[in-house]
Amino acid sequence: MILDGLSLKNDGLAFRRLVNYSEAEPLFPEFLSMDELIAFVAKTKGADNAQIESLKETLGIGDFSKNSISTYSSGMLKKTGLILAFLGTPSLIILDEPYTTIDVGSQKLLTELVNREIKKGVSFLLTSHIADFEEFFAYDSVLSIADGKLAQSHE
Amino acid sequence: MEMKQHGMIAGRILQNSIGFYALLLIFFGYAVAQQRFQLRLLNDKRYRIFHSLAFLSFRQLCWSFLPVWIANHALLLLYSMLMTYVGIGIDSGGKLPILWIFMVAIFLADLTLTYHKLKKPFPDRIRMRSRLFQNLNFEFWFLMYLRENRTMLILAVKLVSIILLNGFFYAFHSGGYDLRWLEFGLLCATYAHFPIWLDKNDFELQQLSYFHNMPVSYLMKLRLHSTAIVLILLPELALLVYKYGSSETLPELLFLLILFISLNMGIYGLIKLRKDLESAINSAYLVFFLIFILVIFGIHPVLISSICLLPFLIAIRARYSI
Repeated sequence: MILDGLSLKNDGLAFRRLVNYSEAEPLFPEFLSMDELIAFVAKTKGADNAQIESLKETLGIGDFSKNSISTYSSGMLKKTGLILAFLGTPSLIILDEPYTTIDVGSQKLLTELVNREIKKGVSFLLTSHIADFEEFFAYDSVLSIADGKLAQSHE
Repeated sequence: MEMKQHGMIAGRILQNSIGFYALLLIFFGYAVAQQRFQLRLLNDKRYRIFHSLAFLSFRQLCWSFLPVWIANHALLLLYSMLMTYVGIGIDSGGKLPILWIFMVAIFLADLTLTYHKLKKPFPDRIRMRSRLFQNLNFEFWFLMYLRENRTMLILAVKLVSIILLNGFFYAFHSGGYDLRWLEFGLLCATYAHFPIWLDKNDFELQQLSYFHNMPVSYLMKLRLHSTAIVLILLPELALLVYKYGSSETLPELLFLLILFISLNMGIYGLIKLRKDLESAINSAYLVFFLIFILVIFGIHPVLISSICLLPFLIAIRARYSI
């Protein structure tokens, strides 16, 4: 697997620095706060404080980041996963069900954030079950999966 | 210990006022810890349904909670019954009624506190970090996990390990044993930590699954895991220094410290390398006897440490693990 000239096999660390992802149902230790998770991921992905603050502002995180994960709603938990996925300078961001469990306002903010990153040259791989997902972005390709197989490619 | 010896200890406690009141203090400490744990549990998202207990009257709550209270305080009740059985035959100076009045008082205090807590709305739990440690670094995550979720495990392991090591040092200082006795003691204390390392592996596999593909360099992983392991072993390391630390024994102390840390790292590495619990346990049995043989034959602790470190160094090298 090659990304930006880097091989996953030969340049594992450098490759993984270029790929971020957000899970559909994030699972983190409940006693940690969002700030603590961000601190660790930022250290490994090379994200600075300016980027962290900008992402927090974009996604409307506020002071919740200081509280422990155990107090978060499902929406806040999803935002935690999303903010971790945008840290550093990835070339590819994989977002699994990014629009589930977050409110309409946050969905708009997320769309703006994704479009902003696309303009910078970042590629995205998104999955979704929601109905009008195809209208959200100008996709290079749209695929449907059924029974674990590629069912349809929309051009 | 046999029943007879338990009976003797109970009898001594009853005949000694300081011992008796110290025991009551321990019972009180246990009851407080139990109460705090229960209230935290009630505030957990999964158990908030139990807030409905607030609709019961105090009498109804006492009856409903009686089996729960008895189960949670079974240890205290059983020991109190043993002391009563022993105390009947000896002159305990009126301590038995005091003991049972104390137990009833604990029960009533416990239920009263629970009753009043249930009546109030529970606040959202917001973790306040101390001013010194605003953010928890990765090295402390597992320690915090143990504190939050496996308090009894960490306490029990530390208790067993410290008592075990103390016993080995007592025998060593009585004379007739060489350093190999202490090395064997450290091996036994390492195996007392086996459940902790199993938990560490489970914690990293499940709760830290998101971080498995993080681009963490080998040196950083080495530092993170080593720090976490040394932090957990601090009580035993302190005990080693206390019991064996002197200017004459400094080199040997250093070897023992390195040996203990390496043994634990090795066990953790072994668990990480094995795919399932059964194979980890079987490998651990084999390794115990191998290291036992190495110790018996007087192989230098530094050499044993180097062998023990191998599984750890190989295990943390794995690409998709934190």
